[in-house]
Amino acid sequence: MPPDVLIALDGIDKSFSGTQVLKNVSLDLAAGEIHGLIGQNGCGKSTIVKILSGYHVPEAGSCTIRGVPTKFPIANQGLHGLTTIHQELALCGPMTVAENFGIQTGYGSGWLSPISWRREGARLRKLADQVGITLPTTERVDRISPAERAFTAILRALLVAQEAGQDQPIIILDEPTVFLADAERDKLFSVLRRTANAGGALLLVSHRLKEVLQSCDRISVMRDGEIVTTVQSADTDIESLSQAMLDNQIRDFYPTREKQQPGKPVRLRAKNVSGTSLQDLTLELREGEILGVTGLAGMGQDELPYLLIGERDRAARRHLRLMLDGKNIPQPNAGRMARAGVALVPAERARDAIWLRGAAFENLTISDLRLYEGAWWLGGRRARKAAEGLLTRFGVRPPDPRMQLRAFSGGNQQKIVIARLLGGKPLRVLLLHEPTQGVDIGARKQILELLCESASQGVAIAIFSSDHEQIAAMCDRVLVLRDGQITGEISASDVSEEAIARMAQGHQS
Amino acid sequence: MSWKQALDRQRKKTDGGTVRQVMPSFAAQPGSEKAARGKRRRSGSDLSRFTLLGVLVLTIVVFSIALPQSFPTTGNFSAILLSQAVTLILSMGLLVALRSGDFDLSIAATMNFSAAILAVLTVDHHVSLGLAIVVALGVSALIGVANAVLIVGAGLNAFVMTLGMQTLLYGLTYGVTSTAVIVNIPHALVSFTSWSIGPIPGSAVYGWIIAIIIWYAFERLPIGRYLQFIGGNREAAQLLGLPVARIRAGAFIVCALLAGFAGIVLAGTLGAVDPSAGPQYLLPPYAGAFLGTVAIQVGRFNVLGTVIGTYLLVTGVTGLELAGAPSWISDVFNGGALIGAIVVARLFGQRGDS
Repeated sequence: MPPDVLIALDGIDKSFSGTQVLKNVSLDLAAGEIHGLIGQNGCGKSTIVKILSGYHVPEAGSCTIRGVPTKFPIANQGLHGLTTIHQELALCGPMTVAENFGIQTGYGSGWLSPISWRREGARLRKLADQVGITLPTTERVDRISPAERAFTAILRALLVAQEAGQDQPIIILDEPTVFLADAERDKLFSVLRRTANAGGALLLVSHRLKEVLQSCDRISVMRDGEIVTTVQSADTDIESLSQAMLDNQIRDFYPTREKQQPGKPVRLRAKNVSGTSLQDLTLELREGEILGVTGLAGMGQDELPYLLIGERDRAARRHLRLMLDGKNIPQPNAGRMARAGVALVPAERARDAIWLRGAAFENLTISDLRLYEGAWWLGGRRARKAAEGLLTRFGVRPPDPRMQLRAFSGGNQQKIVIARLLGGKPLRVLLLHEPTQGVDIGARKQILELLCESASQGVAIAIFSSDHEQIAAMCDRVLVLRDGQITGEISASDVSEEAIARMAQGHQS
Repeated sequence: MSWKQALDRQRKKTDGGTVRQVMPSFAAQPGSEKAARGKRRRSGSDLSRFTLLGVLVLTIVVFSIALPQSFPTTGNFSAILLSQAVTLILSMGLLVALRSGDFDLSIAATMNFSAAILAVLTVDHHVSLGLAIVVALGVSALIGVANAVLIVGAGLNAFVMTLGMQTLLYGLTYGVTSTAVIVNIPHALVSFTSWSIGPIPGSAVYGWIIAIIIWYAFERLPIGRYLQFIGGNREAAQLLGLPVARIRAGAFIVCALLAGFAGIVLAGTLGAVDPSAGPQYLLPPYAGAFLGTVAIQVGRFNVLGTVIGTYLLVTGVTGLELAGAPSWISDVFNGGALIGAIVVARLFGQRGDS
């Protein structure tokens, strides 16, 4: 191992509930380099980040930091001069830049001695100077630009390393550019470059090929839990990187499905859909089709399903125009949409979809109580019986209607969420946001099969996801979002992972 | 809530929240079915849900043996029922708010204010009793509307909002009564509460009737299931299309309305209205409701559990006082029981976090 390697993972294996998510992964970061880590959703990037940030313990493999073997979970990150900066940055909005900057290092002050803000400001400016930026030290973090927020987090990481006496900081950045505009992105990369030039080692986790290619020295490509290749960026191009990233083998964990040609009547027509990252979108969803809506992370596919049922953004709701089977739905909200037969499966299951401490039957029957119970006497017996039928029909294990939701596995919880919608009143439109997130492989296929089945019965289905592979395997038609607009549409036989990826990256065909 | 706030919250959650919530479900998967079966959690199918009832019976037995002269008497029985009538009505209203996942600290103040209005109108202004009752209940409902508008509509923090409302109402109560105890409550009102069936006082019967109505709404009407689901996961209920805002607002109004009714019963029972009586009525309903979460429907706010909890508390306090304990023991006992209840709930992994 060359002496300038600051951190090295070797032969890492990790599995969750029997599914191996990392296979013999080796990765090293050298002083002075920016190392790119790329791969599709679910390829294991974030598991590596979580191992490096001390959250996961792998089953096999070793870690060496600055030549010293380190045990898992990796503890005392600060002393190692190792910092992980997540997409969310972990800043406190109402506090100032300087307050956020010094929070991990105790503001350079003892427990009982007062903080010298002058000294903190000077330290901040000195570090900022080294990487070539200026920051408004006394401004609240929620009032500065997204790029300045990222810089604040980076400076804090540098300070932590400095305080620990490490002049070669190791910084892991997980999708740092998602919320940044192009110009800000370039500035961020120049900061990262200066940090690397000063002797730091940086890992840039991303799935934007272009920026990784432009800003990194070396690139490791992940696919299915393995690092398939590590190359010098000078020796590669977008084409070969995307080839390495995507797997062209047909997966047996997707149901086989005849792609529908467009031409069926329009079921849902949405106009003037606007949100934080979307502007005046127009969207049509046809009877019996499975539509995919995708894009790179942060391109709006994560808010669109909620906006379409009139939730999450009250201001946007006023302009929204929705037509269902040719009929206008005035002032759409979740209640009206549910009554009209439009249902949503949210991505954040525990937060948005289920009542964890409620029994399975209570979760299953809540949206159609009248269907399962008398109006004046909910005995529960009929509902439990009906729920048991649903649990069996949708393959939920165990099919126990009285069991609390939190005792079911993620996949079975998701099946319950879907059973609640498909088992109740007849549906006209089903919107799904990342439908197989946190779902085990076996359940994933069953869930996708259920979707195919309902589509063949005429339900209009839309999947909103960043998982290009799944979108490619499942959808008849794909809309690609970029910078608040639909920038591309791919239909039927042309739907492929490569086509989606190319369009999402902003390369026209 | 704007999308931005939602995103922010999501970010905060994914930082620690998902980690805590999603990971355990991963952990539960190996050999999935067996593991799940082992960890199977049913909503209250075991005997532990009757523990609190057992404790109540045990308390009665112990005090009856220890104090055979004073405790197991009809007089004491009636006194206990009478003393808890108002608390019971208050806690039934409180349960509605708690079950929908909200908090109302202004219940005791609303009750006191309603009683004060009733007294001032009938005694000082010679308004007819019927009209005075209507006004008192109307004002209480308005208090509930104010809470609902500001908490559900404007999104204020329920805890701080109702704390402010409570203090405001105590002030107003002193204002309308000129800081004096009002006596000579109309006889009609006194006889409204002073009847009895054998040893059972009428005001206790009112409490029981309200408890039965609330029980029926909670357990047998769709609205009860909606309240419960909204309390369990408000965001999910919203996205499912349940009328979350309307139901939460309704819960605040019902809560205040029942507090107003408790004020009428209080005025009738005592035959007088003391503007400083409010604060002592705040804690017992909370203690009863939280104690109730470890009984019958474990982990949930429920009517039967609350009734048992309420009577357990008063039995304990009465017994101790009859045994010669000083009067400050009731505060110590009630406060201690409330803390004990949430600790027990926490230990059994049921609730205590709310």
